[in-house]
Amino acid sequence: MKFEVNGEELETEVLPGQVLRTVLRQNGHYEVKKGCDAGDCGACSVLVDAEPVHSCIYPAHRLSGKHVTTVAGLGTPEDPHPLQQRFVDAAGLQCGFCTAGMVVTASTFGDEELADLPRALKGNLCRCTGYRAIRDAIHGVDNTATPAAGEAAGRSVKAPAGLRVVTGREEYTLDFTTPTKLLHLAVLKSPHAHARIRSIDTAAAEALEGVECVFTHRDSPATLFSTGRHENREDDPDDTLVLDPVLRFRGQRVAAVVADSVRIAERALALITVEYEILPAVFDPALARSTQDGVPRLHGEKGAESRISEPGRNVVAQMHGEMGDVEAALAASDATVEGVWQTQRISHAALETHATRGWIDADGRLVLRTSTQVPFLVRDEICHIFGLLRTPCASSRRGSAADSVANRSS
Amino acid sequence: MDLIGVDEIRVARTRDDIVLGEGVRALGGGTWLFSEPQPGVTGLVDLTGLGWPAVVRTDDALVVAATCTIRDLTRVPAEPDWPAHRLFRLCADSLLASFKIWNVATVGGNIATALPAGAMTSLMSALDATAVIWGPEHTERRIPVAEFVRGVRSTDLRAGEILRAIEVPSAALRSRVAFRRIALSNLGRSGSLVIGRAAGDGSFVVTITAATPRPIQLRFTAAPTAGELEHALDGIDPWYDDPHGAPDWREAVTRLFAEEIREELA
Repeated sequence: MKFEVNGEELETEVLPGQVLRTVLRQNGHYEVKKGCDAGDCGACSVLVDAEPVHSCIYPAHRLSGKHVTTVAGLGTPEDPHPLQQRFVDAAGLQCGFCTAGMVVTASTFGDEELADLPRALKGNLCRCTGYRAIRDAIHGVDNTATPAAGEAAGRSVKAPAGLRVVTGREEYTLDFTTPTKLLHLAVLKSPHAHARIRSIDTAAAEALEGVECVFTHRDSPATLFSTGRHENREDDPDDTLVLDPVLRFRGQRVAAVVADSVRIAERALALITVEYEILPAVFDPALARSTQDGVPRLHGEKGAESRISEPGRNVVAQMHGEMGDVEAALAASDATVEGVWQTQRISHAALETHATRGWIDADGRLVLRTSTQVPFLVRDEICHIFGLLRTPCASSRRGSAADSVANRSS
Repeated sequence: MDLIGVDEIRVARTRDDIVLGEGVRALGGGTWLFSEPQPGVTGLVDLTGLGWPAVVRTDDALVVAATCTIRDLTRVPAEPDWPAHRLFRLCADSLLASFKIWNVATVGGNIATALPAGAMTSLMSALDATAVIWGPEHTERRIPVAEFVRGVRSTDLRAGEILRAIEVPSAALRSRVAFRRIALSNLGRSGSLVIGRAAGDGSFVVTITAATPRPIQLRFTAAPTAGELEHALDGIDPWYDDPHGAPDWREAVTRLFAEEIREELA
């Protein structure tokens, strides 16, 4: 198929069911970001024949003869689009993952859209919550200064990588071409809230052409760990395995397929046969913490070495705290209010794809490039789980995408 | 997202190319179909290749192709005697989707997806529009849009059928209309959308969507009294329940809107 991207003709293969975003990124247009992959976040916004669209839900088979413009086609760090310069001047970006889509979308705004930005930008999410600064950028407000050398302290300086971010040149975790063959991993998820794997047959998946290997709990290191990370690893309970034969929530990883493409890897998942022993589950938090008979204990078999707060009551961790003399303050207050307040667990929905790329470098070291805010801790834990020796870790400018390097042990 | 189970996409150029079957689905704009995994879908027939004109005016109707984009619908120019024309934009603005989705999403696709908050269903039901359905062997049948959507993600389409067009009677466009909508967040998914329409012959119809699993229409030969309207509302069951609004809230706001609309059109 032939179409134009940023004024240059592109001839490429398009598979049935592929979306425009995938085709652009496969051809090195990493300035187009993969965020929600469902048409909601707008990080993948591009112009098709001058109309803005979400490229993650735009069927690629319609591209023939079309003209696509990405954020990189609007301007360059040397010659930015006026709007790109305004995003830098207003400090209208933080991690920058939404910025490409914000700039592309806002580049189409006329008076009507400028008068009602919340509506015009409702298809663009920023998860650093920089909407005020984004509004300033679009309206041309300059929030930054350019102080002379030595005078920057205390001033609002421009983000050093700003021009690269706003023009789509900054490399995020997946935004580069791997020097070696790239394999993809897909995960089979548990359909049950609580179950034990009785048997798992991966033969048919392994036989599918393009499948490199399939991992199950039989391949998993026996080292328990936590998916949460703190400087002291003993702050978190050792409550899970890389692949655990016991599944404690719906969606927990059951098996992983590594294949030549995402498509093949995902298709192979359907060929894995799993026999589950379904175990009783509990969905009420109060009941889960009771000692009532018949309430399943999700980590009941684990001992003190796991540092699970109360395995007998399904309490994985608890924190109690106060600052100052609360009792005295309440006693001396003219009025006091009593109550029990509770909140649900909240997961921050980062826009950047959770992803890791790995390869073995020329010195035989395993190199992992992953989107995390704690690259050093991730490296340490991977070394702990897999019995590797740790070597230095390098971080890029961003907290949410960093390189992590670990040495393979002998 | 990439639909990894799809092996073939056929772009229909003539009616004979519209052949659906096991695992083969009709594709409109694609903004919903490509927004979530579609297990079991192995093929797509793209209807946008048929080149249907977005809108055609006949003597007594505005015929909107199922493949007309939301954007194109909002750009249909008004006639001087079409007070109901303003509903086009009001309903497009009621979609959760942003204007970028309007550039690709189709009117027919929104209706055939059959979501309670589907604002094209609200619009076309309120205008007493008719769904034109094409079936295999060049068959064709018609059904009111308000009956075409039968429930959450459920339509009247049978195997092999597609939605071809929506016929909006010109008389409905000449009606006076009143519009009310609410969502739990300002620009969120509609929790209740109520449209009142007073036609030239004095008849009065209140169309309720988003608050109920399927469109509900309350019809009166003349403008109802508050009591008559309330009595008609009493018959609604069930009110829709999902994270975008509790049933009792949806009922309360719908009752308020219906009465406001009755007074506005009186």
